[in-house]
Amino acid sequence: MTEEEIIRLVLQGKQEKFSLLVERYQQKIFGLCYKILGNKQDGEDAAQEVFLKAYQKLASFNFNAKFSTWLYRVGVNTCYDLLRKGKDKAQEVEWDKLEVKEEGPEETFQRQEGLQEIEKAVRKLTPEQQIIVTLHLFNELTYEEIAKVLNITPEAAKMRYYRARISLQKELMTKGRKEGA
Amino acid sequence: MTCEQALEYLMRKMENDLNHLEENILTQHLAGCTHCAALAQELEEDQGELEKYFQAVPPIRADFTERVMAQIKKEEKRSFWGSPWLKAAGFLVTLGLITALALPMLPNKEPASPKNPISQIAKLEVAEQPVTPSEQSASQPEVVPKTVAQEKEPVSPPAIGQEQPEVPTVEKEEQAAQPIQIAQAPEVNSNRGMMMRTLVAKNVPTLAQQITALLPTDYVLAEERVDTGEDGQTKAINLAYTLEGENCLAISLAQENPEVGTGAIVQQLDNGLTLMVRSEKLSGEELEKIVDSLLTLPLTLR
Repeated sequence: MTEEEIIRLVLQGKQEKFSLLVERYQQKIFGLCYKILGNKQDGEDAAQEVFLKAYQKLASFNFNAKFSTWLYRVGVNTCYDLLRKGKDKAQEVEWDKLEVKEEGPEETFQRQEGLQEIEKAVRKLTPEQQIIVTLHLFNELTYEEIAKVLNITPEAAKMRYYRARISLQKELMTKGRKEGA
Repeated sequence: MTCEQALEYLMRKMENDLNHLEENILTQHLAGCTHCAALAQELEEDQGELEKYFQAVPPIRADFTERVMAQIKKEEKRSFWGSPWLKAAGFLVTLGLITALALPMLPNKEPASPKNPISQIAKLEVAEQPVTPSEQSASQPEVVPKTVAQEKEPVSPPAIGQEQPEVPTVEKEEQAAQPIQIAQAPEVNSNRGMMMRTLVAKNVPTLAQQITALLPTDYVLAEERVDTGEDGQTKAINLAYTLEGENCLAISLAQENPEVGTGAIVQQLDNGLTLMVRSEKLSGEELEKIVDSLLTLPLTLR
């Protein structure tokens, strides 16, 4: 069944069909939220909110566009709102928790992957930079697709990504990551 | 080439977005700029780590979909109890109860006279349906698509050996409004959207006259009587109705004991009917916008 068919069925009242779209996109939306918000619980809560909003706004979906683009836009807006509300708090608390608390499965996951330094550098980016880097490197969207999600031109999407990538690189170099590597 | 330009070229190189000429220019710059050369090496080494980081996402919880659907159901219930639809339905149920209580107090009516305002609507194509004897006497005119709006004055239906009844005009009638009953809309296999609205048209108590007053008959494709009481009075009509080129499946208009030209009016000011519109192509929201733009005065929307 195509996505358009599923959406039409949901709009006709077959609510249960929406679960097919949730199944199809849950990992991608969760990954986006997880990478932007920084932990699994927040990521799952945000992803749940994304799908709820998508369901509530489904009547406004334009069938000329791709559903994934539309859904990512809902996801980005949700994460952006959450980041603006709780970013400071996350920056105060998150790194302390990572250093002192007992390592949970999530931290083990990161550590085993040797990625904690990169995590810290990513957290130093602005919300807009985190979102665009995540959309490109995790969700693997092209610049054209990112442009549609963010409602900007593909050229602007490309330049914003480049600037975010360069900021990330400077942050990695500033932390002396390469020392002794 | 400046170092700033070189940085942009380095980023594009990672995306395989450089042509041969641009690559050559970059290579030349890196050969002469140790800073950019070191940066190029860093970028290349870290790109792999970055990609690894961004792909490192734990699996989502196994019951995620169930939780989402449960939350959707919960939100739907919460919005349902406060919805205008429910309030409208509550109003209609109340109206139906008042009607049921008031009915025993009404004087007996004459059987439906041959005059049938439906004939005004019958200018349009008529679906094949059996008619009651009382309606047969006011035989249907030639089926010619024609809008009632084009008629200057009420038109009497051709008679079959029957005295031509006087078709009442809206101005002549001071009839009490009829109680309202919602007809069962026809079953349809699928409908994309639906809207339901209670409409009130003052001083147009009969079913057919309400159709005329409330809905531009240009758009009516066919009518079909779905419920005719024992007294021959039409209780409901299904109309195949087109809205801006999209065929709606049906509009059901229902009225209990409609006034067909003579007799008492039960509720003069509260007369109204429920307009229910379905479409295979349009959503409920789109239907509402279109119907809003089509409905004519005098009219009160609830």
